[in-house]
Amino acid sequence: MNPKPDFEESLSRFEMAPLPEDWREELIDNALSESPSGRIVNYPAVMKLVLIGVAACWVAIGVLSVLTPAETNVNAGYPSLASEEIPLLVDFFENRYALNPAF
Amino acid sequence: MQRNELERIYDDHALCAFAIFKRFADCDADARDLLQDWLVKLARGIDSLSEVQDERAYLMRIAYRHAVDWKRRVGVRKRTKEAATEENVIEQLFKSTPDPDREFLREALESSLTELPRDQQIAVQLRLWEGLSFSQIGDVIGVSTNTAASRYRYGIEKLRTALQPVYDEFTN
Repeated sequence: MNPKPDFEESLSRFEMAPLPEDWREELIDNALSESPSGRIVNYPAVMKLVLIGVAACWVAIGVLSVLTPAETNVNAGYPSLASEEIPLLVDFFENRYALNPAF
Repeated sequence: MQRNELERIYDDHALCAFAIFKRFADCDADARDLLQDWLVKLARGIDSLSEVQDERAYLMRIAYRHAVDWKRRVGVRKRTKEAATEENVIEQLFKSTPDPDREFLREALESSLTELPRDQQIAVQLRLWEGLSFSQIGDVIGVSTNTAASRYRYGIEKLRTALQPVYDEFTN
């Protein structure tokens, strides 16, 4: 005699106690009233990928802008020439060394 | 999802899902919250179950995974057994029976069932009272068919050992 089926069968004859009756309406109402539109978790997978891609681009732009050195001002530290000084300078180099009697 | 579809799902599957949630939650309030979340998830994420081959296994898999995630999130609650019992609104898992011997067996069964490891409880629950195959149970709890079968058998053997004196009295 194999008692196994009898034991299992006698246990399986117990019926589950029902859920409280007032739960049904309340739980279903709550489930249906949850608005799906306002939450990112409800977006389709493609939309999530697009959003992640856009966010990644912005992060990359930010990182690159921090790492790229700013444009150097080549005149920094040197006196700038006034407009009337430029002809004098040109004249000096065109008549190279002529003003200096030592040459 | 349409209301009538959600109502049908509730009528057909909520009791089974709740039984799974009860295995994870300390009290009925938490199990009820899990049931609510499960329904919200279904209402939002599923338009129709017409293409699902095995509806019961599919829905119970969602329920099981949701409960696993929840348990991982909340961790171990510092709630005493007495406090959890006070919060319970459903006093027993199974319906009472008029036969006193069988009623005694029912009480012993409910007590012994909670002593099993969780996946054994669920395997026994789904097999004995929901009639799922081992393949379906494996699908629900994310293990192979053989593993599901062995969890069920371990659970049944433990129940048999625990309930033997009561069961012998009941059958004699």
